[in-house]
Amino acid sequence: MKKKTIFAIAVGAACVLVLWTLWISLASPTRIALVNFQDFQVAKMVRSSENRFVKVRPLGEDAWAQVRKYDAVLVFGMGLRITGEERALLQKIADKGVPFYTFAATSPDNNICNLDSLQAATVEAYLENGGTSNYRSLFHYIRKELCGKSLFTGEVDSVRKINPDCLFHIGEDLSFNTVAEYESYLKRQHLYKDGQKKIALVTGIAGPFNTNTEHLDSLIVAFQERGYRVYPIAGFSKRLDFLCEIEPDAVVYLPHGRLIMGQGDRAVQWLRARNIPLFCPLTMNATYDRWMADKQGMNGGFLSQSVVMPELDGGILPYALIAQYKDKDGIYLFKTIPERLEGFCNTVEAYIRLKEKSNKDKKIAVYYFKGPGSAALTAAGLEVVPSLYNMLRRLQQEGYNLSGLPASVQEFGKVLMERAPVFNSYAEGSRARYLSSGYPQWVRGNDLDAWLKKALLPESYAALTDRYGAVPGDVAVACIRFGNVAVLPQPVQGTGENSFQAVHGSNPVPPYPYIASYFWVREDFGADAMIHFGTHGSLEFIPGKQVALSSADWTDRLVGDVPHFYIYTIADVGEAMIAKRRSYATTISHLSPPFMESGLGRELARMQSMTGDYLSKADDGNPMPEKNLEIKRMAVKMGLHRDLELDSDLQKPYTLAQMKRIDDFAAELVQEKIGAGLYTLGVPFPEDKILSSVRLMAKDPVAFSLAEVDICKGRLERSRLKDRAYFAKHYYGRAEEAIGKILRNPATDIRSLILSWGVRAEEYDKACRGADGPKGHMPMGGGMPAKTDAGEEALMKAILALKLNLEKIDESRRMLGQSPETEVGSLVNALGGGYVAPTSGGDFIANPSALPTGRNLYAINAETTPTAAAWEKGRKMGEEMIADYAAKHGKIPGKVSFTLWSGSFIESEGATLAQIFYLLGVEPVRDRFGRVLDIQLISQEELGRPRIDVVVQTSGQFRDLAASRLELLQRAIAMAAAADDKGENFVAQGLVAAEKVLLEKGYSPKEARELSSTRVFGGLNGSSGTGITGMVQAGDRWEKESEISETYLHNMGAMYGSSQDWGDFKEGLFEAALQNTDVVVQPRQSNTWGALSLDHVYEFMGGLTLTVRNVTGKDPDNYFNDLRNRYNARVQDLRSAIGVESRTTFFNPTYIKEQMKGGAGAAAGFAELVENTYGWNVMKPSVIDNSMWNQVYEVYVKDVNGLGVKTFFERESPAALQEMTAVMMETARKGYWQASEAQLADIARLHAEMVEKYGACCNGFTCGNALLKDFVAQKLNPQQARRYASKVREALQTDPTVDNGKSVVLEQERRQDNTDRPVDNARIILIVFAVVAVLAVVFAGALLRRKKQQ
Amino acid sequence: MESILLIMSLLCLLTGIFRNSLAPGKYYPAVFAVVCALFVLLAGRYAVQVNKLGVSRAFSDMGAMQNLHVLITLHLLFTLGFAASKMQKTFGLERNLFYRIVEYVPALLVFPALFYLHLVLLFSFPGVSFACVGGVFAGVTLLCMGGGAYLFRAAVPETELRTELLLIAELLLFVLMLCTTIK
Repeated sequence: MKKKTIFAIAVGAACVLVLWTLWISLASPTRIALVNFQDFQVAKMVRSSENRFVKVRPLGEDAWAQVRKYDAVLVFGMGLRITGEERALLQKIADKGVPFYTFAATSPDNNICNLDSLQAATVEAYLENGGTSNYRSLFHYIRKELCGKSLFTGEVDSVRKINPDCLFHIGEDLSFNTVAEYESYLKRQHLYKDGQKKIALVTGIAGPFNTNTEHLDSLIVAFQERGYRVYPIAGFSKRLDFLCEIEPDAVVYLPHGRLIMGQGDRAVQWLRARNIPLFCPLTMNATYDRWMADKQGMNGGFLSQSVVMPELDGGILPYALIAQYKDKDGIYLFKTIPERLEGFCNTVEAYIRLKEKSNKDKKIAVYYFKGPGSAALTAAGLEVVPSLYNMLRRLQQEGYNLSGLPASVQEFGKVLMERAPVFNSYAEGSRARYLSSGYPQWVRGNDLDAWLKKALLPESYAALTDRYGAVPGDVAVACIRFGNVAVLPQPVQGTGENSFQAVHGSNPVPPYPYIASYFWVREDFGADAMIHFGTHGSLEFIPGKQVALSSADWTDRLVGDVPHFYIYTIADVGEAMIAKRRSYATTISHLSPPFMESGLGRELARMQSMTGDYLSKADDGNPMPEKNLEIKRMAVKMGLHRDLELDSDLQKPYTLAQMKRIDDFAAELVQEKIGAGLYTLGVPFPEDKILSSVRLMAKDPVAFSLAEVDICKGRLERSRLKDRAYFAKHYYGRAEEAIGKILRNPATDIRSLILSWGVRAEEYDKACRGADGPKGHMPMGGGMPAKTDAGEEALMKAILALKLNLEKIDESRRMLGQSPETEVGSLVNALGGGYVAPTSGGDFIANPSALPTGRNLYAINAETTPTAAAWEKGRKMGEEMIADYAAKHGKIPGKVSFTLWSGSFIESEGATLAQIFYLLGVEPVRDRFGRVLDIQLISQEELGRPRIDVVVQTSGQFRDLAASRLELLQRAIAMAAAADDKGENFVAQGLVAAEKVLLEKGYSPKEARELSSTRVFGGLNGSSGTGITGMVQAGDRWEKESEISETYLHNMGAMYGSSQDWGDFKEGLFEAALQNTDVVVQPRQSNTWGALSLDHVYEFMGGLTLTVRNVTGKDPDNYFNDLRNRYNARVQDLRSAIGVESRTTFFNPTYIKEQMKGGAGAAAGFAELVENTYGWNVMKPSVIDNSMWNQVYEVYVKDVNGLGVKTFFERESPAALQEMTAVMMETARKGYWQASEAQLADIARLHAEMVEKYGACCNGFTCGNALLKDFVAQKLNPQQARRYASKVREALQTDPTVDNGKSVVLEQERRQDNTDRPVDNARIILIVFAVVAVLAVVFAGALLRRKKQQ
Repeated sequence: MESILLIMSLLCLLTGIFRNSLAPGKYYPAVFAVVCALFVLLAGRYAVQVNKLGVSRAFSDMGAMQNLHVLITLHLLFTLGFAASKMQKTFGLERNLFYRIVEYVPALLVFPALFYLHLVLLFSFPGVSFACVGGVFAGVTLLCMGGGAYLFRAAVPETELRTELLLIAELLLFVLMLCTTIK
């Protein structure tokens, strides 16, 4: 019995073992690991496996150890990043016999495979063709053939060949090799109707069958339901062929990169010929929830490929449309975002409708920008009123209904000012009169509420009502209707709040009037298109995601589904990108103003001749003191010593070095390019201005390429390029002569011209032959005969560049002449649903290829920056700055603060970024695609100096364009700080100093350590400005500059160095980072603005300077990275830059005369110069002295040049003169200008006269500043003072007869006094009792002891 | 206030050393010194998370200071008990259980003092690695608490004298504490 039992058990066990073995080897589920496959691929593969005995699981990069648990492994080799250890682990698994295949390996090391060639080919074929049936067969094949499990295995079908270049439709098997096949399918399905509009839907290059198709299906269905015939295109190589055959009415482009990769601008040519828009919606590489929570929206390489590259083809509408969603099995699927699909389709439909609808029926809304009160309409470089009028006139000619458009531009200007004003919050009187005038368009409260509820996400609606309460009844929208065109001022975003400090964590919500205006345009007016006129408004700067906006972003909601066009200056490509990406605008570039030379010739020429003569004769042994002092007298008389910070002791001669500086400065003043009046859209520059602009466009390129030829020929030392006076004398002269010759006679023989400069005929011919060779299309490229040494090759390149630069002269003239027409033509075409071709940006002197204008601006791929050329420039500027600082201070700077702006970043391809890297002692590492994804330390020996610490403040635009560069910078700082250097390392020292401050400020040692390396800062809540300009201008709201500094530190203190804490704010951190700052640097790349003409310069550079002064107690040195001349990047100190700008523009009669030929825009430009001078006075008093204000007084109040300044202002814009005089008075009131009583009386009289005659303009200084009003009144006689006060009251109060004494005052922050807490008496009693008890015990013990002893 | 707290902490350490020198047995001081050093090492991870303002706020809170005062008073009572116990032992008197136990109770105030001193060091040496600060401080603690106690035993062999010094130091600590609560 016992034996039987044992036997039975043994047999049973054997059976179980056999069954188990059979199960394991033949039937058990096959586990297949998918390693490194993208989520969208995984979704398709996992869903394809319908067999319960095949378990397909994706493994992330962090799950290598789990691979060994699987029966088969498939690896996606593309982009696989594994360490040596991980590779060894995978190889070990493969060596153990687990079926292992790597697909699409880009690195041979990662190509791990243990299949035989037949098996590998089969697996590869299944994977390559993709699709459900192939994937299903693949998994069955792996189970059956590779793992040997024949039970419960499905059919292994042969590979179903899928043409990757095909058209497809909803459903797995629906792929079509030709358009005809596809169309016949549509006909069978009754989806084909004659006359239907056609949309080409271009999808991923890997074909639609390798991924889930829910997103594509829903897009196809959505367009089909709207009556369109949709052509979904898969694949890459036949894309353009399909498009040509389809002849679509619009292209929707979903993949990454350019439409036709690797073939330059073929797509642009096709789109231009077809004249259809290219829509580029965005696919999020993240789940919906993650994207919604992401403050950036999109970043890094994904941003480059999804947004930047399509922009090169003229792609528009970067509208977030598709995101990942996790299904019930945990698989990520691409799906269209429900609330965005309709918006996208509506927008595409609206663009296509522009083609169908007749012009007379189209409704167009045009937004313009103007400051509050009587301020003129503004747009960078534009004379706005005539430009706007020209545009409207042109639209009228094109058949648009513009009934009621005034007959003249003057009348039009008056109508704009009267019927569509903008008010400051305090101008209650003016506002009340306007509201009762019958001009505003009223939006009914109920309608607005209904529109908002429909368009906004519930949380956005709640945020709005929380912030401003429920919809406040009917809302007035300033608007003028001319037939079917509505012209509107963009409402002010401010709400009249008193605090300049932003509140962290609360994204600003636009006020009701702002929202009402845009919703009225969309919902009530029913605009077919919206135009923002000129650079720039505020819509695109409402904080939110930088790109890939969601429905929670206000900009997205306000634009809605209306086609949006933005008339934008070519000179501001950085901000244009924000308009494109954040408000879905198609930009239409326009010219910047014409240029001319400063015209400061006569006196300076004499000075130059004297200094030149002196420098050629004098040396240390022969100082020629009399001649020296004569020059010094002249320099002091002209005030040059102030700009160069030299002494004015007329008994003591200048040194040779000082004399050289005067010589260079004089040359710079003569050569400086200045604006010659503003540009009027649609009106070509006068011929003389075209010629002066072309001369300046060509001067630097010709002169520097000529110098390069001389350098190659050994006739010039490269170092002499820095010698401005020498260069001007020897090269600008020749260049100007040649340019003049070509302009006079475009048929001038360029060959003879170049030969006349000492180039031998055979050299010239050889250079030309090289250019005509296989690579001849690259002007500076290879193309040279193979057998040349480096020196000869450089010479050939230089000759070729010289030739090309000379050849471009006539072309530039032609394009400058044509551009005004192409701009308006392009707008008309865009409003007709046409294509706007792409262009690079920058003013036409800095970047001549930005011509012709009338095109859609694009930026650069931030991932490739700093480029090699930019690295060289940055390095050079870094060295120059260090040397200059060392010469002044006897030591190199320990810490340098930078402001990064998008415009200079784009146009210089990251030269300032390169300079920062160089100061830190790190250099970029490029991958094989030229991208800079990593950095490495420059060795200390190579660097030859300690690493210099940096702080970076980013503008909102730079942050939004190049977030990945900010992260790279932050990494560079950490790397430099950790460098194992001998001796000093200022970066490491900077970290310690910051940590110390942070500890003092109440951070724990751990936090302080972590935060001490934070060096990248920017606007709070994703804002773009600093918020201090308003504060600076409201001079009665602050007394000490530390108040401005505190506001600056607060508003610009958000961290932008890493995506983890992107935009977070830590109190005191910015201040800690700024410790010990020695230098503040600002890049400058455009000839259209300078320190005085653009308020953002004093706002950012000045604001940072003031803040550094308050933090460190020391005024930092200031430098501009002058990138305007792409042949000669250099650093320029602020004082001298302001000197050059004020002399060549502000006080230059030639400039003033040219500007006075303009209108209100030009007048506003003068006012801005004065305002910005005051701004600098506050930010850095040492660069603006009394003499400068005296000169302002002489030129603009006393009119010493006899130019009729007052008449000009009275004619064009009395408000501008009011503003200027108010600023001058405020400067004196605040003690920045020690003006005489007579001067003040003159200015006050002029100011009061303007107010009395034209009413108070209330555009900044004039009405809101109660202290200034009193100050002005004090300088007037009693009658004048009364009349002045009465006029100001009229503007401010609804009933001007009552002086209710209201004035806007800064809300005082109520600080809670730290009243002392009452002392806890019970505790004190307890303590006293305890003490007494202790003493009693001791005493008793002592007594006891003594007793015992006795 | 910070200076007073620093002095008080150092005084706590001193009383700790005195008391450790009076501890029973040959190895007790060494064991206690190791415990102190370990405490420093282990408390480091918490010390780096404490901020200066938090500390200042805590010590500027009169209520907290008064609580601390109660603690020090209690500590002083224990020290008196300890001293009485030592005296009874020295003079060969019969000790009850309480006195026998009290002899083994270490100077517990050493721990908060060490923590505070650790914080002071962290705040005073920005840029130095936390591990380094903690390690060095633990080493110094080990040396002071252990070596100091044995050195003190050797230098002042009379238990009564050492006890007297301990009491004086404790009373000084107590007076300082009183000063901190006087407004």
